[in-house]
Amino acid sequence: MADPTEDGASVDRPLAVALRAFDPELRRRAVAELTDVAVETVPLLMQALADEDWRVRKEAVSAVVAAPPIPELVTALIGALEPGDNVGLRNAAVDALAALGLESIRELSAAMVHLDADGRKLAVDALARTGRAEALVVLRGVLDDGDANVRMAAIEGTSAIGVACADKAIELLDGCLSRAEPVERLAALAGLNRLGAQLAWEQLEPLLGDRDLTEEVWTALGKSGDVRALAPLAESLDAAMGGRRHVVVGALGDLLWGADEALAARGRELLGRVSGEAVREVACLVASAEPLALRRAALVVLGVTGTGLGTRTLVDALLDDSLCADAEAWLNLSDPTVRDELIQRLASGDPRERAIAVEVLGRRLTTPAQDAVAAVQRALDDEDEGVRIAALAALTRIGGPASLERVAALLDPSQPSSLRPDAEAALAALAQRHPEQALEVFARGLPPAAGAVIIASCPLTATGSREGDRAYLVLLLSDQAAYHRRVALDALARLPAPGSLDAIVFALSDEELDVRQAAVRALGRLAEGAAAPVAVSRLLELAQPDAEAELCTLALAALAKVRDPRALPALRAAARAPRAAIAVAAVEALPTLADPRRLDPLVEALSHPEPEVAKAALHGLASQRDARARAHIGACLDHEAWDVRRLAADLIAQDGDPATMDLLRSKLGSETEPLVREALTRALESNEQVGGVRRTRPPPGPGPGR
Amino acid sequence: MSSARSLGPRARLRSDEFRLLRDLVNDHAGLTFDESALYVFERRLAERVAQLDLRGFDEYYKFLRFNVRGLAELEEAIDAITTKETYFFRQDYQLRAFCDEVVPRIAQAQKDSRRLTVWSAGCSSGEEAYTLAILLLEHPLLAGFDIKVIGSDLSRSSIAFARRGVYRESSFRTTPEELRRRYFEADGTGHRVVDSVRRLCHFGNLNLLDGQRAAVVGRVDAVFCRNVLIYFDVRSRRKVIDNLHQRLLPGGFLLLGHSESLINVTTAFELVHLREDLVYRKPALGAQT
Ligand SMILES: C[S@@+](CC[C@H](N)C(=O)[O-])C[C@H]1O[C@@H](n2cnc3c(N)ncnc32)[C@H](O)[C@@H]1O
Repeated sequence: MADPTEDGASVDRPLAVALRAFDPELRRRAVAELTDVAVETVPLLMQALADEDWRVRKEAVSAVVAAPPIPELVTALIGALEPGDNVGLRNAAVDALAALGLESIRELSAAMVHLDADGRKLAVDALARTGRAEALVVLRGVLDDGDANVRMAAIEGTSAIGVACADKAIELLDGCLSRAEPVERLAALAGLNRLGAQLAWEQLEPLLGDRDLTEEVWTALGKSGDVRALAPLAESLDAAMGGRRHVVVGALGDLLWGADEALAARGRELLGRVSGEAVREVACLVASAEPLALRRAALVVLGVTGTGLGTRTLVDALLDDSLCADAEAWLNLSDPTVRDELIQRLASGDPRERAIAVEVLGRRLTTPAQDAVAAVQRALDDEDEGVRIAALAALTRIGGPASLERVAALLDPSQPSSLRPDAEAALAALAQRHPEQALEVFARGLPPAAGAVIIASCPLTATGSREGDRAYLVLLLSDQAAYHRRVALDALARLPAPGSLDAIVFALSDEELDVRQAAVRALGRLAEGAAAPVAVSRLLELAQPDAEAELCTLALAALAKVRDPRALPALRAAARAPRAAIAVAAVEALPTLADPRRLDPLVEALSHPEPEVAKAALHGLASQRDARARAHIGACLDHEAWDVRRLAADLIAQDGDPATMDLLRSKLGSETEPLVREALTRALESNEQVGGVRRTRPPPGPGPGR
Repeated sequence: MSSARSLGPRARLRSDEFRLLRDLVNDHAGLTFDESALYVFERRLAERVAQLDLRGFDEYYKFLRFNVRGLAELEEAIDAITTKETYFFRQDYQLRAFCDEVVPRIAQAQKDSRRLTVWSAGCSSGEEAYTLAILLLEHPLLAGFDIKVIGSDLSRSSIAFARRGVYRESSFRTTPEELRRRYFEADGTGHRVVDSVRRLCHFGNLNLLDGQRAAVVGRVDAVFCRNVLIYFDVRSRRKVIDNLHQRLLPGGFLLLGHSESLINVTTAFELVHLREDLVYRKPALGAQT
């Protein structure tokens, strides 16, 4: 190549001189200082790209990328791919062409015709590294190139670009699976696997004997989702050793992860037969393999083997935060040995282990198994409160008639109050499921609170008549234990008998706050039902801004749920209350109101002097998904309180309405509070990310039939 | 630290502080106190001052007025200084008059609904309410009636005590032996009201000055408000009586303590002369002018 510095007046003299400097750092700096690249500077840039020092070449690539589009530059870069012995220049040219992206793709395509094999390979590399879907069209033409190296580069390039446009790339790679060259088949299949392609069994079956492809075929079988893929994988699990076995485990995990029941059943059948040695190794993988995905896969495989070791490992994994979800999903509780293993853990010395065993029994048991239910019921006597609470939650789902009396006994005032909420819930569920037996237990005599819960939840009348049930509860309302009065109110509220109103109203005068609150909640329920107008009147009185705050807030929440024209004005007045607690409660209740005019008081609340009220109103408006509400949220970017402004920005970000982005950008120009600026930036960024990576298949969820 | 302070000398109440506290109490509960009550205030409230770790009564006054827990503390204070003296079957002549001459009238008025509600307003620890329940339960004219006795008081602790329904000997000073045997059973160190009586009684925490809250009582046939108004100033008495008037059904009765009357309070009630007592009555519908 001619010395560009001899080329007369058009050349950048100082750069030309500097590029001849002995010190590479001086040469690099000269390139770095080159600000406006033009046609005239192209020869000098090319000279820099050909520099013997890599730092100068790197700087020159950056200069190319920063330059405005200059066709001569692209031509010169492609020229560098012609035969020659400056390897540094050729690599730098590939880097630069890749970085130019779209600008270089068409030129590269045209150059394919005259470049030699080495040049074509370099061009393919550059195309692949543009990462652009447009390059795929060019690569397709080269997949059948006469030169093996070019073909390989094209296959690899296709799978690399495929991340951005999977469907197209998968189609191209698919076509390469029948190549004569084993390395090409391998590269194509590896690419397909990398792109998460789901290949049909019919496509994979012929490849099973292909020794060059073995591991990639296993991986592909794992992604196939086909039940027929199980047999070859199960067989390989026994035969493969070491790292190859890990690949099989990963593939089996992939296949079984989101499996339906048929696939899972077949898996149990086939994997139940693998050797003890293989099972032991898989168990080791669960304990300590890297990465986590391999541990999870091993866990799934082990769960499906149904062996004793498999069951024990799964149960152990319940204690491991990163594996517990998969472990639980794969425990097959219809298998008595699995239940036994869990039941045995109830005798463990570690309360967490006992609690988890109880929880899992409660959550996963689908058919009532006497052994398990009895074991859970025994856990009600556990010394650890966490275990007792877990047992109650479990009985809520799986408890049978035999649990009724035992759970009811926990509602005796002598029992610890911390168990009551769970015991009430469990008893209610039991009485709903076993009404006849609940009545028998009721008739035999029960702690009063248990009676109230049964009355409230059992579909049959407990005392024989609705009036009798009501009388039982009204009597309990005068009980000396505040807890009994509270439970009675909750129960009365659930009775359809409207005659309870007076009793509930009188309970508003109870000396215990807890009971008064229950009375307000009960009124709320009545207000939604039979005794609506009168109950609403009571709620309106309680919702006065000068009323007892704890009751007022509850009354406001209850009013929001009733269909009564008086609710809106009451909530509106409370939203203006100077006491922030009241105003916030009203504002939080407003969005649930059925009245379409609810928007006005929400907007009004944005000007409440207390920022917390304005913030509650913002949340409320955001939940409305309404153009007018959006406009008001936008206006809050100018609110005087910085935390209101910040919340407005956050809510706008969540809403993701592109129309508001300009507004955010303009506010970013004037906002001074750093925390608000941060929120504005976050909002803008999150909006730009919408429409990112596209997936061909949804990521697998754990467990069969999920 | 707080224990060190509470072990120190009792806080002293200056007379200006006393007046401030007294007005606060009056404003909230209607109770009135003359200067002689200063020592009662000092003795009973010094403990609260110590418990709250306050330096003196000036701080206590500020606490009552401006602290978020101020209102709750004011009720504690009032609880500490009020007279709550009461016992079963108090003022037996009045109770006889009620049974012999008032109940028959109510029973007649309610012969269709067969419901009867009596309110013991300012019931303290509940003896009055239970007394009324026993009498109504015993009353031959009320067989088959749905009887309800409501007991209310400003003091939360008194209401909680009333709900328990277990009493010491001093509550029985004028209880007929026969009734005591039938309606009470031994319970630990005391005597417990039997369930058939308890079942009729409903207790609640109400300030008689707060008419709106008092509405939870509903409408009643008779009110016993005995030995409550004597502690009130005239203005508060008027307010309380007005509230009671609103709760009474037309033709309903108001029974006051033996030294209490509505003179100078209101003319909204008519005076009814019974054989053994004087009672007040809300004019029946149509009888009002
Ligand atoms: C001396 S006791 C009377 C008890 C019963 N009525 C009797 O005659 O035996 C007076 C009661 O009135 C209550 N009291 C005082 N001010 C009150 C108010 N503003 N509202 C309700 N009760 C009040 C006191 O707490 C006290 O328990």
